[in-house]
Amino acid sequence: MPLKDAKRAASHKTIQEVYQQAKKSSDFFQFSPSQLEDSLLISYYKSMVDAKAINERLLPVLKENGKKVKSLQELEQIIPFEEIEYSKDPNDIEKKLIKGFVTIQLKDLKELLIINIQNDELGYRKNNETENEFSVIGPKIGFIENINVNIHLLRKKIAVPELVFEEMKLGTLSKTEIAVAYIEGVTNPQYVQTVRQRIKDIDFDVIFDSSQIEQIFSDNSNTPFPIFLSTERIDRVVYAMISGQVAIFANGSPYIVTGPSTLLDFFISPEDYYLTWILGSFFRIIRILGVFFSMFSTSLYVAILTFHYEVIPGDLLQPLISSRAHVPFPPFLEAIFLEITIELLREAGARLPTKIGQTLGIVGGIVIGQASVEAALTSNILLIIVSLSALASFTTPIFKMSNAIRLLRFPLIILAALLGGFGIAIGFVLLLSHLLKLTSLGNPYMVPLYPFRFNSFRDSFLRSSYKNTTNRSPFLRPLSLVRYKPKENKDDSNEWA
Amino acid sequence: MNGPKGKLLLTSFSVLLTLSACNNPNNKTIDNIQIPSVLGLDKGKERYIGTVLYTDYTKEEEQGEATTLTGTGMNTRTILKEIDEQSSKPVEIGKLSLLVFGKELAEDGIAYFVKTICRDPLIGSNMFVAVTDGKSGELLQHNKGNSSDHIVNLIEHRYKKDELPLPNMHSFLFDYYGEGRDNAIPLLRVNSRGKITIEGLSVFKKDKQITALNKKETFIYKLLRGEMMRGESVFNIKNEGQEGTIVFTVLYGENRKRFKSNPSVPKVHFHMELQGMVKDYPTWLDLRKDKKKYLLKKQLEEQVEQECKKLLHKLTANKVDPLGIGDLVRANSRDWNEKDFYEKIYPNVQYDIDLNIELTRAGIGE
Repeated sequence: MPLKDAKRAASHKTIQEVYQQAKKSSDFFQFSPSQLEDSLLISYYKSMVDAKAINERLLPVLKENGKKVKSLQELEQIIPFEEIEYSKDPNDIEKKLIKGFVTIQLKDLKELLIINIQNDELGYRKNNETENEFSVIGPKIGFIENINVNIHLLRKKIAVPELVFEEMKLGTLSKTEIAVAYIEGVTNPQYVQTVRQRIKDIDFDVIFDSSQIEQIFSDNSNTPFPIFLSTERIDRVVYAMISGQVAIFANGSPYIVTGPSTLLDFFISPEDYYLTWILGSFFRIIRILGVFFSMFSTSLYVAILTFHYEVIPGDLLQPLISSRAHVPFPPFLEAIFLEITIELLREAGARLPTKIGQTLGIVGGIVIGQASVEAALTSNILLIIVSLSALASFTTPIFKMSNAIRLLRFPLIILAALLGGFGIAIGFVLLLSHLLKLTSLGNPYMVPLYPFRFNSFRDSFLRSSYKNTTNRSPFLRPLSLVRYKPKENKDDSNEWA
Repeated sequence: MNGPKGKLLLTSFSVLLTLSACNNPNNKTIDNIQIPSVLGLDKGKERYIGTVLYTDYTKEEEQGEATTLTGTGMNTRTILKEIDEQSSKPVEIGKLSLLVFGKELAEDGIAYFVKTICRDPLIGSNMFVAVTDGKSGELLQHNKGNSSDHIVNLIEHRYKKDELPLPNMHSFLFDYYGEGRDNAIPLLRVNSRGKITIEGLSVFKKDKQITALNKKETFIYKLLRGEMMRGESVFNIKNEGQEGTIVFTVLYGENRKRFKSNPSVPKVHFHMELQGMVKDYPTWLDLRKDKKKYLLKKQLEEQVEQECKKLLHKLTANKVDPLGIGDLVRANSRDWNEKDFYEKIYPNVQYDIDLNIELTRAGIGE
């Protein structure tokens, strides 16, 4: 255990040894300001502190008044920073130096003044647009990798003291800061307790991203479906929290995990709420239909063309047969070939920089698509079906869910090739039973479909008007059901009458 | 898939797949099969002759033109087997959409084939059934230059224009098995220009063809049947020495059939209300004048009524009942026996027709 040895050794260090260890790094600065050479010693890690604040605010003050100062107390009076501590403990000093504190030592005094001048924002991106979950209407600010900024962003939207952040540390090596957020009086404490307990039980070395936490403490990790919704959009997290969900922040991750989630949550876009309910509902239905199309269209093509020629309408027979006339492979192979091509294109597109990505679109879409039809590797009708179903899968607002949907196509295609429509039926039943078995923080994943909750249908497949969604979904068992109260009699407020 | 059971299941499943090379005997990839849409059946000297009509869409040089294959046998299975033996791809009859019987076979009785074919689960009951006045094999030869769906589409659009009663297997079987009703199915014929047309309806007693209805009789038959009362037919008009023809189009109609159960004189009462228009009429007929309109209405009513009576007498004389008079009587009487009814009562049934024609529109005036 080298780490534990290092810790033990640290406990016997003196301040001089701390400085010596630190001086090995080139970013450690230790100096006395000019004219004060014999009285003051300033030390800090240049990479961790706010250099501008030191140069513009700390040093001028010291130079002006440095000579008069006799004690640390006097020094504290003149230094224009708020977070100032006294310390003698070398271990504490070492830890704080690394975090970006500045120490000031008066000659011949064992006690030090530690001033917090760390630079929080250094290294973090300034651009926090929601790149991966874009919406045309609505705010475009997303979370970033800094947990403090993220908490700040959330507090701005939910400005009540009932919004509670519970901080924890996770990861034996990374010591990542985790914050569990919930609204007291809304979120069911059972969920908060479950999250707390599950995070406590986690033993892991380095937490790179919040999605790792999500996987580790998820109810069932052997599933392609995301059990928790993770998002970089502020409005999504806020909406989850006001409906009584828990949000989990992890330092270093722009993705916030919210839960308990249900299957339908993944097909809801914040934009639904910014458009009128008619349009919002329409787009939501389009998205849900897209899921079904994306999952079943290719497998249905394979099943029908291999087994069930009877169900093809008479007028469709000719285009289907003549498009397949020169294809030497069975429908199964041509479908798998095209599906894998699309997956390759997607994977390559995700790895490439945006500018090359556009070229990839042309290469993939036009060249490969057109050429494979001309080379009689696939039929052009299948090409249309496969690209449409890929397109449909991209309408799912949450990336993880759209991946799951695209993955599920493959077992369905294989089942369709083996058993035809019967195989698809088997696949669908297996899929459904798996979905029914899933839970998220102990909450059923398929609610409100099963267990059937009629009241929650107001905001599921359709996005009802705000008049009708005054209550929270009861299946999350929030402590208070009422979200808002629309004015009963609107005519009273009509002052122009 | 945990434990030895799961592993066993997984291994046996993969072994099954690899050993069979993923090959499935039920595999019917659409470009590897021949999908006929018409089956014609005829009576040969000793055996039955079957002809299928199909289009091979994989051959681009044929441009969707239909080809025929003929086989002989004692039943459908053997006929199809012989056809299958002559084809480079297996013949699959799952998309059969028309069954045509030759005249000889139809007069002999078609129950044998209908029963075996409708037992095949692959064949849908929305397949059309028709009769030709010659050999069905020869009729199908006249399909040259068209796709195999040509005859099917021909019947379908006639039906959709309400000139034929629903000609599919479902209604055929209903009329065939139903007590007190007989079949009337489309009669196909090759006309003088060598094209296939629908001549009218062929009327069956049980499964034997007895008589045929021409186009005008078909129109009247549809009116008497009372379902989907639309269609058009030509009638004559006379006035003050002038004669001409008019085309009467029925737009909407109602027909209430009632049976008056009088044991001595059974009487069937038709109460018909027709709404229609005349499309083509002679120039001397000025429909803007109410008097002329009334004259037209009276003459039309008279002629339609006459035609109705003529058709009803033709049907009773042939002892066929495609209108389902027997069924109507059965529904209104306690003891009804099919055999007795058609032998004793049916020839003596009296028909009472109460017809009212309302001419609503007569086109745009000059």
